[in-house]
Parts: sequence; structure tokens; C-alpha cells
Amino acid sequence: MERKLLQTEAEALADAGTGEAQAASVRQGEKESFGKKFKNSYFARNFKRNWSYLLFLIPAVVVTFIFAYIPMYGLLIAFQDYMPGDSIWSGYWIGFENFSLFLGDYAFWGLMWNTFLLCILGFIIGFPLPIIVALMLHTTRNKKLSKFLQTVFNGPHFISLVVLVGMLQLFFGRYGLVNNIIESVGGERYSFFLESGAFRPMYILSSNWQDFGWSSIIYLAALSGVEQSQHEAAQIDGASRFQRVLHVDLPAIMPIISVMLIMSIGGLMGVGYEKVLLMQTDGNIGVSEIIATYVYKQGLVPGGRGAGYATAVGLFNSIINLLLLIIANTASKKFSENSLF
Amino acid sequence: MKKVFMAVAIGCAAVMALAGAGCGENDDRTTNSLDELKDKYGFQWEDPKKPILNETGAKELSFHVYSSKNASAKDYNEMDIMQTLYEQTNVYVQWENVSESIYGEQKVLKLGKHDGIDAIYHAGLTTNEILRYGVDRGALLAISDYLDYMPNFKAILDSRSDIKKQVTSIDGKIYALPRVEEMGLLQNPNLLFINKTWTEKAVNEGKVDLGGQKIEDGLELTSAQMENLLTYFKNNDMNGNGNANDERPLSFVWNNWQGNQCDLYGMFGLNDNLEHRVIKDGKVVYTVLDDAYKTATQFLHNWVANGLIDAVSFEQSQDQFLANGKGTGTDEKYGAFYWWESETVVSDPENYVCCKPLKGPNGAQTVCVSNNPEISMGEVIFFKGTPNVEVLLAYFDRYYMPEISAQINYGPIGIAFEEEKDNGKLVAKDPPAGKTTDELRLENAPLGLCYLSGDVWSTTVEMEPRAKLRLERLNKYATPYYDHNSVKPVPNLQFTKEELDVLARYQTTIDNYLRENIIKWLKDGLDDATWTAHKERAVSNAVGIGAVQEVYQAAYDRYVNEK
Repeated sequence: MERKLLQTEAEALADAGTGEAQAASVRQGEKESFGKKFKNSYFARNFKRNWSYLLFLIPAVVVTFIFAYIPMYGLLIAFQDYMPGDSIWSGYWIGFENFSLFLGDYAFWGLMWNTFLLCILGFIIGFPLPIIVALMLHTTRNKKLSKFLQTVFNGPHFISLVVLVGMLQLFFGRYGLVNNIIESVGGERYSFFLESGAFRPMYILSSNWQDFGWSSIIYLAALSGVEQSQHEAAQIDGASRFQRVLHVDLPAIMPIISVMLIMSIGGLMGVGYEKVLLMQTDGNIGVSEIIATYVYKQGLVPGGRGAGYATAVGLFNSIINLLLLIIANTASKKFSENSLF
Repeated sequence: MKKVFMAVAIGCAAVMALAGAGCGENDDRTTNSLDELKDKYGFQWEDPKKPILNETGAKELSFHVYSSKNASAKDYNEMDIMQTLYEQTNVYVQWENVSESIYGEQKVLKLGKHDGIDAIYHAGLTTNEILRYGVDRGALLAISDYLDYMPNFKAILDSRSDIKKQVTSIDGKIYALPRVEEMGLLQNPNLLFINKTWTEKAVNEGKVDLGGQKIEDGLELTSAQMENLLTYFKNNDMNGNGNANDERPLSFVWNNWQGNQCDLYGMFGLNDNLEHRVIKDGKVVYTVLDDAYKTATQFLHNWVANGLIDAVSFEQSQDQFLANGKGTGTDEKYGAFYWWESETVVSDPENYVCCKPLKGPNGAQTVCVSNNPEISMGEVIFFKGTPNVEVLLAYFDRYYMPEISAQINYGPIGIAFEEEKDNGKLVAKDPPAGKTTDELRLENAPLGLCYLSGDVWSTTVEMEPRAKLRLERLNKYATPYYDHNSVKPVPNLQFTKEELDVLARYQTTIDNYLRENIIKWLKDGLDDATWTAHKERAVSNAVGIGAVQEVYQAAYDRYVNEK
């Protein structure tokens, strides 16, 4: 799923690079190609003209096929009483038992709610932030400062998750920097890792801190494609800098924003388990147990329900993601001109 | 273009690798009948002093054993003890070592398709896995059919019915060789240590009355005395570094396998452990369903709320706990702590005395009875269809001989043990300069399959000094504090497939439910209504303790009634 999204992301980028005009022409070409009469000739002509560009697609297609489509046969084990080592076709079929077990599980709604909340809160903060940052960096007059800040903002992206959580523990642990400061100003030490109320803010803010610079790159790229003449025209009309951001820059990157929005919504329930698991303690497990960590525990930790069950839960999660993606895409298609497919 | 071809080529290679993974390597070894083995290769197993095979056998027969090894261990093919075994038995075993983390990933794959592997050493199989791969899928060799070739293992099973019961699967067969190391160190994992100088200070200032007891090993404290002491530790600058806030009154590592919180519940008569599951008078009981647990939680909540139990205990790792204990004089931070031994925790163990279990408000005084088994069941497994497997079994049977077991577990004679025996006993050798005993052991001992139990310690091998010290302490300050006839740990039990399904169904849920709530109660307090609701909810199918308790009871009843 994720791989596939990455690929579409790459395509979207390419789309943005070559400009709307070409994309529109391709779409138009598709529409007309439905007409039987012209199908062959149009397709052939398109292909003839663009074959060298299409060749560049091959690595992406091959990689996606190998790493995303071939392994999909593994989904079959969601319907089996599967033990690692069994052949996929060895036939311990149990139908939808794994799914009904999960849907009927006492933990089900808690997991869904925790996953949803963690993602939606992260999304509400994490989605607009890179856009704002990109607009700010782009509008900064001092280009040197802008470049410098961009580098600084990108830095945290390269910290590994384990190190990041280690840093959190150093800073927010009971005897960490933050608590030492709290105590020195006369407060009580606060266990950030034990209080369930502290888990979501800590998780979300640290994630956003880590990724806002990196995520803003795509918007910066789009912003650099804004015609300078539009800015000049706006200046002559007497637009302030803020007005120019609002009425020139923002509309220019709107297509990218909506594509990114659709994709973020598609990945809304797809938060990774690593960081959550690293931050999980007995104190916050009530809010930090999400679908991904649950899948890990059931599938890989001894004593869990096994690979089949874990696959079923993972598949269920992916289906929700797919539905969200389709809903978001349809909505976007209806309300604006932009959509993924 | 080149790039494209590369990508396509790599793609094709990957597809072929995927497809190729299915084919095993060809095994060109021939299976010999027993008579052939005897005639041609001189196969014998009765006399443990003589080789198992003759010279021809050493040359022509070979076995391939897959094993994980710890990072600092030598390759098993180069270990002294393995070469000694080869010389003694003439059985050629080729070891394939992988790191422990790789084994974790490979384990189930190897169990499914064993690719020319005859056996897995350090297999670490759970009951569930043995049942599924042995009974269900029939991939594992039933060792019990070959007991005749294993005189040492057979003797162990004959003399120890408890071991036999624990390793025998539900279908009456044995699929894995166990590791047995019984020093009696694991049952009660915690000891309470308290800071001597700090306690003296408290007594001298009249903050606490210890009833004239001397502050030395064997100190007996009531919960009230302990509370006074911890309060005093917390509020004063005990180590004299000018900061009254860096003292940590009572520390431990929450839910660690040792040095955990469980002994604290002993003040209320509970023999708690990490699973909260213990055998009492033949019944499987959950301490978290006992009303004493409520009283204990309410009591301990006060200690947590007042900072007497350092809240970092709930979140710290073992490494952090150990690191914070280091430092003497003004750097000393620990007032009291639970751990396996004091020597590894603090820089100045002389300054910490080992206490008896705390005496509760109502006079109860008992300890944690853990379910850490001293017998691990799935240590070595063999695959069906291994040629001449009798020879390999006879070879591994030698591991159970006391002197071999000791060398497997600690390291070879000449490195870990002196060449000269003392009264027929192996004596530990001092490590060469610059190395610790632990390092030497990890490097030279494969660990794993061994039988070190009861009289072995008095006849064959001398216990290491650290183990002796701990045993001595346990015998004084832990073991006498519970009724061994009534309270027992839950042994390794054998479950049916249906029972295992029930366990798998509830395990994660119960685990999460208890982890979340226990700590919440300790932090935020527990009122009677919550407790009543908890007792009802915990046994219901929403959490499942009731169902799991029934499964354990049934399995335990079978265990007890089995002859």
C-alpha cells in the first residue's frame, strides 16, 4: 500500500514538474481514446511520441510490481490457520474467522479509536504546518537565511526513530532536562512517559518537529514554479506581501496541496508501529495501543494469535485506508478540479 | 537504457530467488539400519566412556546442526568443548551459527523448511510451537521413540517424574530436549537492600525506632518503619551533596524478571509474580482477583503518591536502573532497592544491608514466587527424516553427563575450570587479567543443553561464588517466608490445541488490561467501586482471565494426576 502511494507521489511530482498543461492533454487523450475508431491511432501516436519518457517509468513499475504486487499473495494467510513454514496452498482454510474474531474483540473499538485519534490529531497539526513553513521560506527576502533555515528544518528528518525516542527520554524522562527545569522553578516532577495524557502530544509534536521541514520540500518545489510576472503584476496592483502569498502563491500550489491532502487521508489509519512501541509504557498503554502495535504483538510476539490473525487485522486496516482514499478522492473531484485518479 | 536493463535484471533475479527459496538442497547422505551402523561404524551408546562411533564413522557420517550464538561466543566449530566432544565420541557435527537476532527471524522458517538441517540447538521453542510443529504438522522427530539410545536422558526422566511430565507433549511423546539448571536461584527473584549509613542516620536522629535491631544483613522492617525511613530519605539531603531532591527512596524495575515490584505485595500476604498467577493449595489463582490486592494497591498508592517509591521505577530500563546506582559518598542515590544482588547495582555494596521481607500492617510477611522455570523445554529439536539420527541423539545425550554439562554451561576445563580437581569436583579457574568470568564464559561456553541439578553441585562442580552468596541470602531472607506445601509456582504445562487457542485468544488482552490498570491504580488510587467492577470485568470474556484460569486449572490437574 505504502509503496504504491510512494509511486503515485512520484508521479504527482512529475506531473507538477511538467505543468498542468501536459497533464490536461494526457487526460484529454484518454477521454478521446475511448472512441473505438481513433483508439489505435491515438494511442500509437502518443506512444510513438513519448516512448522514451515512458521508458523512464519501467524501473518504478518493476519495483512496484516486485515489492508491492508479488508479495500480495501473502494476504491469503489472513484466511488460514497459518503457521510460518506452511505452504501458502497447504490449505488450512478457515474463511473469515480471523476477521470476525477481530471485529468481536473487546479491544477492537479501543484500537480503532486510539489509532484514529493519534492520526487525525497528527494530521490536523502536521498537514498545514509544512505549507505554512514553505510559504514563509519562499517569501523570506533574505535568500541566504531562507536556505539556511531550510537546511536546519530538514535536519531532524534524518534522526532515526530509536535515537529520537532516546532523545525524548533524555529530555522528558523523570530525571531529564525538562523535569530538572520544572523542579528548579519549584514545580513537581512529571512523568511524561507514564501519564497517558502526555503520550499523544509528545508523539505528535515530536513527529511533526521531525518531519515538517522535509514535508515542506514538495511545496517549495511547487512554489518555485510560480511565474514571477504574476508577482510583478500583483505588486503593480498594490498588493502587500501577505496578500501576494494569499492570492498568488497559495492558489498556485493548491493542486499539490489537494493531492497531498488526498494521500494523507488515504494514509490516515496507517501509522507505523515502531515509534509507538518504543514510547509505550504500562502507564500509557491505554492510549498508545494502536492497530499497528496490536498487529505486531499478535503476529510476532510469542503467545499472540499468530500470523494469520495479524495479517487479517493488517488487511482490515489497509481496506479502511483504501476506502478513505477513495472517499477523499471522490470528494476532491466533486468540489475541485484536482484528484489522483 | 543500461539502468533499465539493470533494473529488469535485478527484478528477474529477485523473482527467481523467491521461487528458488522453495527448493531444499539435496541430501546425499545414506540412512543406515541399526545393524549396519553397528557393524560398519561401530555404533555403541551404552558405555559413556567409549566413543559412539569408530574411525570410519568419524570420517563418513556427519550431521548439520543449526544454532544461534551470542555475539561474543566463538564459532561453535572452534570451541574447545566441541572438539573435546568430537574426540570423545567420533561424531562429526558441523555447526552453523547465526546471531540471536537472525535466529529470531529465521526460527519459524527453519521449522517449516529445514533445508538439510538435522537439528536446531538453542531452539527456544514454546509449548505452543512444539505442539504445532511436532504433533500437528509432524515436522519434528519424536525423541521419545529413541530413548534407548539416550541412557543419560532416560535416567533423568526415570528419576525425575516432574521433568518427564513437563517435557512430554499432550500426545504422550517428547519432541524436544530440555535444559535443566537447578540452582534454586530463580524462584524468588527479589531481595531488598537498604542503605546502611542513611538508616543509621535516621535511627540516630530518632526518626525511626528499629526496636534495637543492629543494622546488618537480616534486618527486619515493618511497613510503618519502612515508611518512616523512606520519608526521611526523601525529605533530607542524605548524601550531603547539597541537593535534597536527588535521593531515590525506593527503586526497582517495574515488571522486570527480577528486581521487580512483586515483593511489595508480600506485605499483604500475596505471592505475586509477573503473570499474577500462582498455585495455591492445588488451585490456580490470580493475585489480582484477591481482595488483599486491593488493600495492597491502596497502601502502595500512598507510597507512590508521596514519592517514597521513586516513580522512575515504573519507566526505567534495567540499564538506567544500574547506571543510577553507581557512585559513592555524595553521589550515592539509592535508599533502598529490590534486585538480584547488591553487587551489580551499587558501587559500594558494603554499605547496603540485605533485609528480610517487609512485614505488612497486619503482620503478613511473604515474597514473590515467580514462574521463571529452571527447566526450559524446547532447547534442542530434531527433524524427521534425519539420516542415522540415532547417532546424533546418542551424541547429544552425552551433554547430560555432569562434567560435560558443566563445561557446556561454564566453559571448558583449562579455561573455566582448573585441570586439577578438588575432591573430584571441578573448581572454577581465575580468569586471565583483563577479562571477567562472565566474558570468559560467554566466549567459551556454548550454554544450552545441560543437566545441572541437586547433587551435581555437591559431587561434580563447585558453584560460582556469586551464585553461592545469592543462594545463602535466599535461604535466609526469602525461601523460608512462604509455605512450600501450599504455594507453588506454575510449572511448564502441556496444553491441548483447543486450550492453546483460548490462551492465544486472551493473552494480549489480559496483558494489556492488567498492565494498564495496575499502574493506573498505583498512580491515581483505587476505590472500592472500581475494584468491584474490575473483579467482574477481569473474569468476563471481555478480558478473559476466567477462561484462562480454567485452562490452566485443567492443565495443572492433568499435570498433578499424571503418573
